[in-house]
Amino acid sequence: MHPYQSFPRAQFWRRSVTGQAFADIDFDPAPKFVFDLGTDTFATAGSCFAQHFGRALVDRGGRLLIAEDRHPIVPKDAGHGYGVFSARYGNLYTTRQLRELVQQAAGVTAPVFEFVQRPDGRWVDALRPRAVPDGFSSEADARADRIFHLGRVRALLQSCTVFVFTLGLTESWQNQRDGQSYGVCPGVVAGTFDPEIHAFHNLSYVECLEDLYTTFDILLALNSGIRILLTVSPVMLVATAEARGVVQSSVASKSVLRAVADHCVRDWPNVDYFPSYEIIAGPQSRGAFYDGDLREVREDGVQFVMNMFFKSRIVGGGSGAAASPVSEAPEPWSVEAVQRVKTDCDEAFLDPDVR
Amino acid sequence: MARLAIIGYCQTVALLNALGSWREALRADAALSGVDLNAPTGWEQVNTEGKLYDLCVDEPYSALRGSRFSLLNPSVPPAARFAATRGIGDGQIVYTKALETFLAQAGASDVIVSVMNGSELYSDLLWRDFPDFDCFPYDQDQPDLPPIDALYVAQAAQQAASWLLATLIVMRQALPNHRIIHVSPPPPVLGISPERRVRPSLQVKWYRAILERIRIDTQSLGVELIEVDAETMTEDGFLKPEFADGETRGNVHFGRRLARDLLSRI
Repeated sequence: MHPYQSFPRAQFWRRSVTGQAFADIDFDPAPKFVFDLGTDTFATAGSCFAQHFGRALVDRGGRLLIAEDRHPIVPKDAGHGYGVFSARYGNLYTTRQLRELVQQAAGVTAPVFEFVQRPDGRWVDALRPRAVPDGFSSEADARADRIFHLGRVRALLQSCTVFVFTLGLTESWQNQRDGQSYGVCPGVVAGTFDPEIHAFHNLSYVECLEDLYTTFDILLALNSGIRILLTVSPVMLVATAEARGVVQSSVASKSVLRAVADHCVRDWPNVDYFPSYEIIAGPQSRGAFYDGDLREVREDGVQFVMNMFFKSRIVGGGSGAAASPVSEAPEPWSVEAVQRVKTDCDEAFLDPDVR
Repeated sequence: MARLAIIGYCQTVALLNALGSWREALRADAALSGVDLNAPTGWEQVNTEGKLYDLCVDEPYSALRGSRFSLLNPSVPPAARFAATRGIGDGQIVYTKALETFLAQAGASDVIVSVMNGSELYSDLLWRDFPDFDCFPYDQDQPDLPPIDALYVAQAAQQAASWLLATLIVMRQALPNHRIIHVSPPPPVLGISPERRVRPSLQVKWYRAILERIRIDTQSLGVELIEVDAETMTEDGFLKPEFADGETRGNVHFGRRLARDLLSRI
């Protein structure tokens, strides 16, 4: 008798994958925790794939918290940026971005105010340059919005029962003078790239781990009951700043993030991982869930991931009232938000050919 | 000497009170309506629709002899809240018979004075049941209020002031060669009723947003603008109590400042 003789079938490739109907594969057989659709409230953040996740969650009756909502004075059709994520933080591709945002929101570090002017004269927050597509009329408007934003992020993190973070990239751009990181290389969306100030940095495994550990400490201090669900985005890199091929950089980046997530799950009782990356990118899918560019994930891929998520992670139902200082996303997800899903990825701007 | 043709409603009273006696001109119409003109707002019950009255000016304003005034009375149906215009859209402005009648007669005057659309331009925004918010210049002690970008504030102000713009467009088109002077509405009064639920600083910000819009619109139409005398306002931008009549109107002292500024332009 040896241990493998008692393992369940999901732990064997031949029995659980080879020859199995795709929909029958159990991708998530041993969840650390499951969620109650009737009582759990979700906050989502991360890369573009997190937008898909949030939208699909709401479409299926999940309770996505919205910490920043459109005020009636703001026209519905304005480029206000509400409803893409739980708050208007834009894409948080890296662990460093997440850590810095959470630190500022929690008051652990001072808010970072870095605003730049677009060619059209509008101001943007350099740390989330496309989170508010209309931009701001003045630096003062941008500053006030950042202060408010950080307060709402704090309220969000204190209110949600589940924080879903999709790890996207390790490649980042940082301000060498002040230390903050950017979601997209300065100069790509707004501002001016200055090689004396802006430097490329590819986060290492250890750095990603430290970022997340610091983040988790703060999250638990804000909300002791919070559960954190990590996913890794299966969306490949638009471009790499490493002097190597983008395929190699994509796999390196995803591998680091996947390994970091694994480490976190082992060390933190309130942290778990959902294998959306494996579902989409694993060999069993034969790339079928990738769009024509072999990078973006098709809608049926998103739906399949959510099917698996609901199958393994969701119990209960109903829609009990949320005792929360933040509101819930409307149901179904607004059309305007759905239409933005495909376009609200800052990273896409790295390649001038695909803008 | 300049003969004015003054048109407006509630806010006009402050100016008329300063210039001379005007209620007497309404006496006959008041009698027809059975209205006591001695009551402070008694004139509002008089049907003044489409009428141009002679203004009996006091001595300091003798240069304005021969002036006339028209009061658009929002309480008299079918006048709407914005009494001179009834609809705006698709480049069309539908305006009232009262405005049409005024313009037909006002051509004989030298200067048109518009006191149209006063505090309701901003009070209409204030009284809405909006969730609280803040806008530029931001209050330092309100970091939890959603900040509304100046772009959206300006858009809301433009929408609110569109009725005034429509009225001024009609005036300018009807009397293309006349001087038209528009009188700014007074700012909100400090200590406005607490049930309004709008923070005092926000009231002033709305007022200033509307005023900025009025500046843009009047300039684009070649309409002169008389702005509120800074001495009638507090440092924070509210109308000083000694210049106020109720929550949103100026009193005779406020009117005298307007009359002085008006006279200086004639």
